[in-house]
Amino acid sequence: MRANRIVAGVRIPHPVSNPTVAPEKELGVRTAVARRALEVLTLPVDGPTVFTVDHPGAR
Amino acid sequence: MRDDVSPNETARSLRTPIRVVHYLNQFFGGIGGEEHADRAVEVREGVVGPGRALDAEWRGAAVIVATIIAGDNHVATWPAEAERAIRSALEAYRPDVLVAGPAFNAGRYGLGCCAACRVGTILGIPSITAMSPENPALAMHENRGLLVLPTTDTAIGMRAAVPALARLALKLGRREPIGSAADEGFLPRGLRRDVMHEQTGAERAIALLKRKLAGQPYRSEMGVEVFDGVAPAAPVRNMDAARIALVTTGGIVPRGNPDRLREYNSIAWRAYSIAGLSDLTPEAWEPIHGGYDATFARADPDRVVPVDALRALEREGAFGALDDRMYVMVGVGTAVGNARRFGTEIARDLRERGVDGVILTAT
Amino acid sequence: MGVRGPRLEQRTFHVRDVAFGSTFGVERGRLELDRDALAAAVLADDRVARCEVQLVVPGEDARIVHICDTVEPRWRVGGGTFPGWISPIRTAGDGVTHRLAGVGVTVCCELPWRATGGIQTPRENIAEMRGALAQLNPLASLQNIVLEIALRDGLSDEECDRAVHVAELRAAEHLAREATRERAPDEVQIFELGPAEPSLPRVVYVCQITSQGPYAGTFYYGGYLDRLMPTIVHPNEVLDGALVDGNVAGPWIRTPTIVHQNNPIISGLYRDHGRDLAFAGMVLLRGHYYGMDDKYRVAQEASKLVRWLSADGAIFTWENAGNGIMECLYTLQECERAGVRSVFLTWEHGGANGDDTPLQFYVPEADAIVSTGSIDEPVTLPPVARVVGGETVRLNPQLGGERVPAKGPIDLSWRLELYGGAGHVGETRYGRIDV
Repeated sequence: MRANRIVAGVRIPHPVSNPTVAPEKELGVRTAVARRALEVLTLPVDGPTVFTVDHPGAR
Repeated sequence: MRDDVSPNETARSLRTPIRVVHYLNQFFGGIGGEEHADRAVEVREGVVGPGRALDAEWRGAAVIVATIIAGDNHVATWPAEAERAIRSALEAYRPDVLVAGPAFNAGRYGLGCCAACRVGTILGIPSITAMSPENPALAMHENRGLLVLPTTDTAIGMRAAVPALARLALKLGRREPIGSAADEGFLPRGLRRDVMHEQTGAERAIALLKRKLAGQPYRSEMGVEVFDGVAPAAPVRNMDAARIALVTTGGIVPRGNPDRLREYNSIAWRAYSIAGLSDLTPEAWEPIHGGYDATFARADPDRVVPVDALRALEREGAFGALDDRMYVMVGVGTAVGNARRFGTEIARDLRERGVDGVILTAT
Repeated sequence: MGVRGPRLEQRTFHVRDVAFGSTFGVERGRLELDRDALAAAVLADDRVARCEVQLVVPGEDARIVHICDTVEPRWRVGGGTFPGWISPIRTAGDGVTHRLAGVGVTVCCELPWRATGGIQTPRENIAEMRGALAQLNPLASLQNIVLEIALRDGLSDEECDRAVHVAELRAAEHLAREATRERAPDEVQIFELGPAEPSLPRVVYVCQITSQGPYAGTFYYGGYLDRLMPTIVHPNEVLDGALVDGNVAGPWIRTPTIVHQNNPIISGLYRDHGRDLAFAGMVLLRGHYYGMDDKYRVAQEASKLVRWLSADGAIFTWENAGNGIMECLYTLQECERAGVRSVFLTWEHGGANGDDTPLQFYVPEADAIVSTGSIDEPVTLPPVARVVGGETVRLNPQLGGERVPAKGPIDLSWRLELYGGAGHVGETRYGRIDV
């Protein structure tokens, strides 16, 4: 089965975070990913759709 | 025939024909065309329509004792009722084997044939059908596992389909062991078994490539699966008041793994309380997943399940409330069937708890 | 290949029987080895605290545990065996090499379990020497010279990871050199890709290995492949020691070094070279990148190399498990779209009852698959009379590791702990069919 609302994560071992950014900035990455996830939950989709996170640390 | 069959049993089985119930739609059942597609299930004694061709193949070794006829629309629109009626008929006749179709590429007829075979299987009656590999009924998850012989798309293939169907139905009715899909000619039904080949995998791979390069017909040892989809849930309407839950396949568990969750190949999921927690600390939580580099998650489990980020957003008012439960399993190597079960069970729990939206983090 | 390629001359000494003796030598199939001298060669590395040499034969009522890897004894005449490990880094695959066939040097060591999760756990690698499961590991058909070693305390995972391989490679080279120098081989084989008829289809072998850190990667000339791009290699390099298997973390899903040294895809394509096809070369890449972008990048890169080798066809193998399959299949997809007819060789899942999904990822272009069997069946290893490599085995790292007696019986929830069983490069006859 394929997921319909997919948020592009950072990396497999830390899908919602980025340990390579400065430690004080890392929570900001997670918050950006989580915020995007909440937003995507409010969006209609027709089928599997990938949404990216607009935050430099989340790439 | 089985080697261990006694002479008496052999003689008896040769004397007594295998009893067959045949399933047809309204058209092949001789009732009529599309205008009769709403016909409810009815049962006729003996053979009808294409069943005669099967009887001719069997030459007395098997005989159709009854024919179930159902309108295509009826089965598609009232599946529960149709299946109940089919079940009654099969219970009344208790055949040695159920044969359905052939349905060719008729979608609703295919649905009906598959439904009949599912009912037969539940009753312990060996069941077989035949239809085009493209028949949409075969793409449905609940029809995985049925025994299906491939046919052409249209009834022009009836004459070609009947002998194979008759042969395999007779084997089933006699409770003889069935060979592989390749040997018996049926479509892969989602059941596979290990074997020892004559040649090594390398020899088979090179031989297969040479056939492909030469433009010769070739057979793959495994079919390509297409993962089905599910209709998307409606969007969360009021995020300000929404209850959001966290689910993860990343294997973040309380330190010490008290529920002994597996590092691979999950057979269970667990829900853990995050009530009152502002984040997941490495002292209290750890990654036990065996399939990714856990160094990062070990230092900070929020990197896999962002409890701290969600608490921050909760305080900010970005959503209503973070549910007290975090649902955890390990994804790697987990059977898809188990994963489906986990999803169904967790969804039930989430519904009961009034959860509006889920964030599932995967590794 | 356009330029004059390497020429590897393999001088093979067939071994049917091994015994301890006062010296090293191979004569009419019997290999004699000086047990103490071999142990001393291993102990010359001060990371090794202890080394015992044992012999285990096919069909023996025995089990080998704590396996770290197996290598076929080789000696390159004039030096240069196992470059990047016990000789300087230099492209392998040329010159004259002596080879002891029918023998494996296996290093066994209980490596430290320092964490309760994660992929870099040196799991138990177990090999049965008899019974149905024996068919699935490379040791059951070999004369096995087993090095039971213990490493010095205080070594990091990276140091342990390397030390065990240095031990086996050193022993393997010492053995091959001392047993065969100045003796005439039973067989000589030349590996050289001469020109082939231009009308013959050109076939490339795409070999994907894994690289996820200590205990979880395949070494390329002694280094992790983590950061290296897909590259073209000559098949002789793989036959001649360029790849050493470090995947202690994935017993079933690894390709032991001895299997790389005898890669049957390579030998099979060599056999057909000039006759049915032209073996155009190999592309080597790693899988299991942690982001989708990198997976797409390597698929593009690897398929580009396949096309630059003017391939008409390609055979794809991969190793390890999980999302690593994606790089291989994305590469295959790109190749098929470019007209390169492709075959994919893989092991499968299927669940404990055989009715679950075989693979976790597919591309529609993978329409020619060869299967090497399933990992998913629970197994019970029967009691055996003798164990080599250790007294106990550890299971369930996620519970801190639970010890059970190595003599058995041992209940395993699936086949993961069985050494080399996946048959990644088609070295076994094992397979799976629709029933």
